[in-house]
Amino acid sequence: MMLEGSLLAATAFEGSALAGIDYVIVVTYMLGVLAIGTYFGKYVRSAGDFFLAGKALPFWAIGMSIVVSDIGAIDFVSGAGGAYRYGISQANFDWIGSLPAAAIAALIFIPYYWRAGVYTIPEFLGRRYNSAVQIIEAVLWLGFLISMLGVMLWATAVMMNTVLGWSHLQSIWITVIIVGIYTVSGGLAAVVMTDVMQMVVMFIGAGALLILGFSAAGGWEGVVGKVTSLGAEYADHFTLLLPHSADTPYPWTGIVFGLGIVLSTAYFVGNQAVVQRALGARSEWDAKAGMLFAGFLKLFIPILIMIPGLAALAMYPGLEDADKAVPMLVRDVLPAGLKGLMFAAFFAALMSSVDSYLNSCSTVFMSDVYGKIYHGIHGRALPPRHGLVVGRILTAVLIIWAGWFAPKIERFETIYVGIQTLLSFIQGPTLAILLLGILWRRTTQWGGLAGLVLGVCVTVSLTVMGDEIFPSDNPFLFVSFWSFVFSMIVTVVVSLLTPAEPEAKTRGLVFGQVIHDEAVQEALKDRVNGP
Amino acid sequence: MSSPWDAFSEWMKQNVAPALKATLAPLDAWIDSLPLWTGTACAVGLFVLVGLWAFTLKRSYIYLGAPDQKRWRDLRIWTTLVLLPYIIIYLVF
Repeated sequence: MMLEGSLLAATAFEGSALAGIDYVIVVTYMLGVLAIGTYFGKYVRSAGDFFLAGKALPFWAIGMSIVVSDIGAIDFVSGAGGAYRYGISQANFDWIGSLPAAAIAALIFIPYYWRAGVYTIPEFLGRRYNSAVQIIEAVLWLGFLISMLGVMLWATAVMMNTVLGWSHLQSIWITVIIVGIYTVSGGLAAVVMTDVMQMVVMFIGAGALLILGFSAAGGWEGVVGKVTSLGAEYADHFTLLLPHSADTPYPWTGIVFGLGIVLSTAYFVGNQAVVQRALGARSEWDAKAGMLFAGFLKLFIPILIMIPGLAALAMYPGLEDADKAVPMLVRDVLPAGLKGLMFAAFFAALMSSVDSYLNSCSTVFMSDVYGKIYHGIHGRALPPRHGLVVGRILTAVLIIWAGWFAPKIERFETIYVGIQTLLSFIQGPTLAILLLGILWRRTTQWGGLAGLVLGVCVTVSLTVMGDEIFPSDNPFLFVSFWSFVFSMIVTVVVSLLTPAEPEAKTRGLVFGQVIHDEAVQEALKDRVNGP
Repeated sequence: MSSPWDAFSEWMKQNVAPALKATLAPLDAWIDSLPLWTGTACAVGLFVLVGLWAFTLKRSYIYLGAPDQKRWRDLRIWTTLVLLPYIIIYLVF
């Protein structure tokens, strides 16, 4: 899917070769990212500096980085394609799919993670429940992140090959070198600060396409008039919430309960790439504010990325493949210079995702695999300097491995699809055990394990039967909601049937205690300030 | 020959899906009978609920870690201001 998206994005530039000014913009952008990224290397002196940016990130950088890491080149194409097909209901994924969740994450979960001083979500689950829960989560996340690295590098290569004429291998290794140098050197700080620059480039490029696209299509009124005159099937194109039984993947019940309550919250509180940025905040206030700022910025994403799909619908109605709408718009309305900027925006979208996944992948491996093994052998935590050296080597190995793996990705497509599907199965159950683990002290390790494992089994079963029992052809929103409800029930029942955890084990890991208990905060201080 | 996964899918569809469908049918019928503005009310209600809940949090918790207690750093106000455009969008569209 991502490979197809990248190829389609690249077709935006086909048949209208980039002008000299476009190449200047693209090369300047690449050098700028490299310069900013490597600059932050001089501040990295320990594992804490490398993986959590020395806990020095301001709220605005956290918010911008969270938003830009979530957007890939695919979103420019398939997001707008979705708006072309289904109208503005596609925007729900960034609107109701981000804000209630970002506020809940900011005001409940993030302060809790931040004070607990953990590096990763699996680490937190391991402390609250047991090693089995930590290992299940860590293995799934590692499999997903590693395979995604290869996929994203290949997607970048496909685009660069089409637009710049570089071979796939050249394109992959140029990306590996640029991203590798600044991520190995500067760690999370470099990733976040380059994300800030990449977001500015993306907003300018996508903003230009929005303004020129709507101008060419006759403005908002013109677009509404042309789209609604296309026929009755386009009558709902300007309606956000569609009927429960509508012939669309997005009925309002799925959007509000499946997306608004479960999937979006699971994303904001359980996605390592998102949470890691907040954990690197310079203060608890910045961690919370960064998350809220991300919720605010998300407001603009559908406007910049999806709404051009409506302008394309007004200009090119009746396309068989809606995902070609925006590439056509780019080709037809952007002049030289802005085309280069738009290509830089596509490239920025891909690079920001590659560096985020790379950094998160090495953090999960260090914290949940290497750190645990080291502790098991030596009986003490990883020394900060040792963690930094191993973290840098690991990051370099991962990006080189991803570069080697990327050209072979199509041969392993089944594995990639399998891992991605498996990860989607754990969203609802993970949210259930995170929520209960934080809000209810009585939740036990066996309740958490049962909730996770049985919840995944129910998600798989519901996915298999989904189109038979739910009123949608693509029932993942309903599946996630019901699997979340089921996991909550199982976790509560099993927790009540098993002995309560000793107070010492949950000390500092339950929200009420973290807020109100000064002694708990003192006990957490060493860990928060440690590696 | 079908794979174990296909066999599992087929078995679930034949033996479990009909019972689940029958269980969910009354709920589906009831939701179908609701006017579409119920969806808007639920979405807006979700936003409003989160906004109100933010104001139940203590001032000391909201400002914890902030370098000063200036009004613009009150994250309860941030939450309201961030929610407001979303509420307007869902009411309009």
